[in-house]
Amino acid sequence: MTRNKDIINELREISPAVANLEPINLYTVPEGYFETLADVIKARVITKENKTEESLVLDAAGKTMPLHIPDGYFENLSNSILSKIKTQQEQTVTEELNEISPLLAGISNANVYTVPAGYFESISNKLLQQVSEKKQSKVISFISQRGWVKYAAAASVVVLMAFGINFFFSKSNAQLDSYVKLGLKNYNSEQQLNTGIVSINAADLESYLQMTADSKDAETIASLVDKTKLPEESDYLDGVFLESFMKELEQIETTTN
Amino acid sequence: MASAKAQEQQISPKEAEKIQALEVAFISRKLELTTNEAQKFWPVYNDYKKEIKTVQLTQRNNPNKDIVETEQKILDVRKRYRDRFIGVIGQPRVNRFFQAEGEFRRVLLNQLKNRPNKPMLQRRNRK
Repeated sequence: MTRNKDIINELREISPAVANLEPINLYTVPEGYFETLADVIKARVITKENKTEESLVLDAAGKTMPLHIPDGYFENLSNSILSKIKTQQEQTVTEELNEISPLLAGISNANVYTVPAGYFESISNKLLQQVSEKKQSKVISFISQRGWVKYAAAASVVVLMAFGINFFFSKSNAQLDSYVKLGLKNYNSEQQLNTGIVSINAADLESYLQMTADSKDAETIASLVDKTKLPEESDYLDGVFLESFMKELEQIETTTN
Repeated sequence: MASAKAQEQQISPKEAEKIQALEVAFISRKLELTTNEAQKFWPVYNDYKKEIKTVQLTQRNNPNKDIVETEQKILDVRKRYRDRFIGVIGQPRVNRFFQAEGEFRRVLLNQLKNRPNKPMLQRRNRK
């Protein structure tokens, strides 16, 4: 048995003691074992076919059944059981009940509920008679024949809704001044807001700002609206103004000419 | 200052309402209120504006008015309402609200500045 060099080297690293052991095969078989093995097995199988230990025991036991039943046992079984039950002392229901509960047995079994004689025979006629005697009550249809009822119902719903909406709005807006409602209603888009701001009347804008001015911007407003002051350069450079100013000049020229 | 005072005219109520409404719309855009918040916010705003206006009016008609005192009174109102506003829309948006108020005022001032209401510019309005 040769050993791989690499394996030996690796083994030396791990355990020199193991690597130095001589490789000897410890397991041996008798000489010619495998050559004769088939014959040996065959011979043993053949001997099994003859009498062995187990079959000897079975032979000794014989083939007769150790247990047996009387003749006709199953044929008569049901009859014998029934006859046994019949021969037992029969107990009546009342006797049994007496044994179990004397109190219940003491109760009379007479029917306590009675109906007058001929009751069921005449009941259907009686009922029919009573039903026909009653006046037929008025049937009120959901779909009224009268047109105005429909309209009245619809109108009442509308009125209710109107009141509800009105109540809702009056509740939420009761304390609001009209300008708040106006502002929340009219200027929802940026466009509307911008045109709104641009369209403020100039004189009113001025007085509004003065009215609400605090000391800080009072001066600013004053300078902005000081009409004795000449406009600054930036005021002239407003394109819109320049255009209109030029138009005005043209108009003046044409009228004077 | 004196000249500005002399030129003061009475503002038409309709135009004043319009400007206030525009301010409402402006602030509404800035605050992005939910329906629920708006229902609580605008009544408080309404009261707030009323009080501010009252202070402004009384101070304007006060012959011994003191500018610092006026500012203090306005500030008192703003402080009081700040707490109420916080309850409705929270601190960050209350800051935004007061900013928006100032912003709107600057928008109006800008408008005034760009309006042709100066001697030369007024020619445009002449017909």
